[in-house]
Amino acid sequence: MENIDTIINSQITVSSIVGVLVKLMMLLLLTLSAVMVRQCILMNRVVKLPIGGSVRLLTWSYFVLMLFLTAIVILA
Amino acid sequence: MAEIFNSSEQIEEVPEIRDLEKKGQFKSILGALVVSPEKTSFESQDNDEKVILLGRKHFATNFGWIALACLAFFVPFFWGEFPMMKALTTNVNFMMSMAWYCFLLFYVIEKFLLWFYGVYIVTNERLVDVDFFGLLYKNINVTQINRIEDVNYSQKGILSSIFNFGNVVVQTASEQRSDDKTEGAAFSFVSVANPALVVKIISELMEVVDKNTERRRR
Repeated sequence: MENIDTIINSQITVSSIVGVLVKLMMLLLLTLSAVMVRQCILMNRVVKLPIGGSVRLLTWSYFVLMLFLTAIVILA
Repeated sequence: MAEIFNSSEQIEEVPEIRDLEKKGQFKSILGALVVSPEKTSFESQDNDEKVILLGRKHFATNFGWIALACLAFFVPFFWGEFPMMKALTTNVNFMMSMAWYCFLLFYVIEKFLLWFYGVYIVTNERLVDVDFFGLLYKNINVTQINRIEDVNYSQKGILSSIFNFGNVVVQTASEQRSDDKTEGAAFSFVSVANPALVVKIISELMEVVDKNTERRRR
């Protein structure tokens, strides 16, 4: 009963809805960045190019950045 | 794969490659056309097989998404003008901008990856066409040089005339359709830089292979 009261009394604002959507989007981007890292490794296996290592490092950096930012956004 | 002849000998017999190597042209690894690239190999490469030509789409084909990304960069500067956005708290507004730029960065890196790894490779034995579509689908076509019947190219549009790029179509003995619906034949190198040069090199390579095959028969 108390739970229902809490739900009824809580205010759903535009900000809270957008906040949840942004958090979901960050999670989606984190998943996509993990897919991108995996795909980059596979691409590098199919065709080995001189700066392939640097490109792989770029995708790993993006993944780490996304991990960091997603943690901040979700905890905020 | 059976060794037909010495790979280095064969490459020396291709005059265009010899000239370009002497002049030191087309050496940039980020370029759309690289002659005799170093430290380049592919999955099914044989030990005696040498990469003669590495190509990818001309850089000018990236102008569209680069312009779009530049425009998208400035979008958060103006979304405060929308009445709905004014209703959001500063915290949510900041989070939204951050998510926007993260998405933009993802878009740019993904487009760059698809351009960088979408290559075609000409070796002394065969042609390899590597196409990546999105993050989860790749299409790789391979054909032997001695199975090539005809090579031609076409240039369409203003951009391709200004920047000198076009589509090179290689017809093989076993003509098969590509999985990629945007390509007519299995061996369509789309938006290739210097298509005339690419066609010339492949034609010369075909002649060399024919000559060597004849020589071996005698």
